Amino acid sequence: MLAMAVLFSFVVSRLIPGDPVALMADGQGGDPEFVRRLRQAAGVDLPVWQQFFTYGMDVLHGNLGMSWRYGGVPVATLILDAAPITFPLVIVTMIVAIPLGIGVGALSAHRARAGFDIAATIGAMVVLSIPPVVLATWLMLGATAFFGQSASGELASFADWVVPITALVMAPAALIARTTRAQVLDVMGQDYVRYARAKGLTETAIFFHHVLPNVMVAVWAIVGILAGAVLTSTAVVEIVFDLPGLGQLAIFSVLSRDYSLAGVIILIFVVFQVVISLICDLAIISLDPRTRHPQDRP
Amino acid sequence: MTSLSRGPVSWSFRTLFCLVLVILLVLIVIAGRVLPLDPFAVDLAHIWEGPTVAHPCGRDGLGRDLLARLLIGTGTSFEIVASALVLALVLGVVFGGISGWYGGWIDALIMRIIDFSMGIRELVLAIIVSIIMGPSKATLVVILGLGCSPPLIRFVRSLALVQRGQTHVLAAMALGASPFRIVITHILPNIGGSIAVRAASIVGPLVQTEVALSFLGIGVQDPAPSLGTLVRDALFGLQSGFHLIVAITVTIFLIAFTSTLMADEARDITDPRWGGRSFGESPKI
Repeated sequence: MLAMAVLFSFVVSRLIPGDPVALMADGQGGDPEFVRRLRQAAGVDLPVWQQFFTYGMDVLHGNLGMSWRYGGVPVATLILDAAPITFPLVIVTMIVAIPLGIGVGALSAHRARAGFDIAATIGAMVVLSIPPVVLATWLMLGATAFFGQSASGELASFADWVVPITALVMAPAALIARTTRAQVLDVMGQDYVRYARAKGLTETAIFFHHVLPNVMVAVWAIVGILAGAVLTSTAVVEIVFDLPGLGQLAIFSVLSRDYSLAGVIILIFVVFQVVISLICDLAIISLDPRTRHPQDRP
Repeated sequence: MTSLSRGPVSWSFRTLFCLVLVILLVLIVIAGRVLPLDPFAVDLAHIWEGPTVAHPCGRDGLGRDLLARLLIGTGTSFEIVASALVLALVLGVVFGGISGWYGGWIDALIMRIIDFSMGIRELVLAIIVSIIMGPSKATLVVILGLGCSPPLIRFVRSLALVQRGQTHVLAAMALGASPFRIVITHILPNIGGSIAVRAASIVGPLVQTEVALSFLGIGVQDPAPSLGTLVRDALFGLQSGFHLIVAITVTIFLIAFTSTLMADEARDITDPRWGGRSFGESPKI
């Protein structure tokens, strides 16, 4: 899978029309000798399979190449500057959204169609109907009005984190809450819950031992899908709050056709997605014995 | 909520509400086409002007009429979403149908490709397509269409698999009907409804993705208005023109809310199992 991701990002970065060397040499006059030497330096004069081999080895060695737009700044430097903003945002969002969603969902299922349930349903409805861009903009307005601070373009203090994270957490939490609610109601009607109750277990014990693990299987299944959406909203939120993260860098690289940079960012995002899917699959396997291989079953 | 026990279409409050909203949206799109609006007329004497009688939504940073831009922008966004939906449906029916009908190695191949493409989600797909095609409306259609087709292909495949085992299909095969004929006359009419309901459920997410990507600058380009570029204008004019963000939020909320409600309604009418459930829960694949 990872090898495929490397191949993929290579193919994409070579598929793009236009000659990067011509782009770099632009403004330096059309000296053919200069262009030939640039081509040699960039390694694009070699056959394609050799280029791919070099690319693969370079990636394995952590050498991600030069940015064609930033006048030869190594891509690795740009990435290392941006990643500490994006990945904490995404990870903290998921860490907050999962328990929050499960908590709200379980509470609304606990007394379905009661006050809290209706409030949570309307809340989820509103949150899911407002795109993260708009939500982030309103939160920024609110933060400016209440705290008198505006988005500063950095994540220095705790307060700088709260607003972007809130903007990011809302939609995934709402979706997880809806799923949890439906699942809890579903599981509560199962025979094993009735037997557990007949056995004399307390409601708390039933919830934590019999209901929650079954609900978690469904939740983990959508977390993998949500991670991709959170990545997109992170890019949006980075632009709204002017945070120099990977999303901003990705958009910049696309709009300026810097495809050595875009290729690496694609690679990082795909690897991230693969890791998240792996974590979700492992979590589901540990929770649900039916998904294990026959010899591993208890 | 439990209105389904009374029949397939019952005029609950929610159905009526949903109909009113849908009619409103259709009117918005038609108004954008029919009314003599000019979303590009610059009037530098009245920039950031608040709502007035002549310009009910106010004006933006170049003095352009915001109502005109909203109406035309909504139309543009709908155009993009509708084209993307058609693209996704064609891909879904063709590949899902082939995969489910023929099975074997071609099914295995298509499923592996789907597995791989599920790993390439929204933003990554957007980056790839837009560096290949350059930012434009067509790019956005391709991104959205490709992005939502893998689950659709899987869905159609599972439906086609079920249909292949049905007796009326076996009878048609025994009579010597060609696969093409069987698919068109015996399978599609049976699975069309389920596909339409599934398609309705992805309209809302598609609108939101369109907003996000146009906002990021990948889709519709200035000065043409679309929901995403209007959000961008509103964000950068936050200090001077507060009415921009209010108007655009209301518009987007209305659209997303309607599409979710519509999808729920369509699902409830066709699938009684979901009758008692409420907003925003779609069965996951």
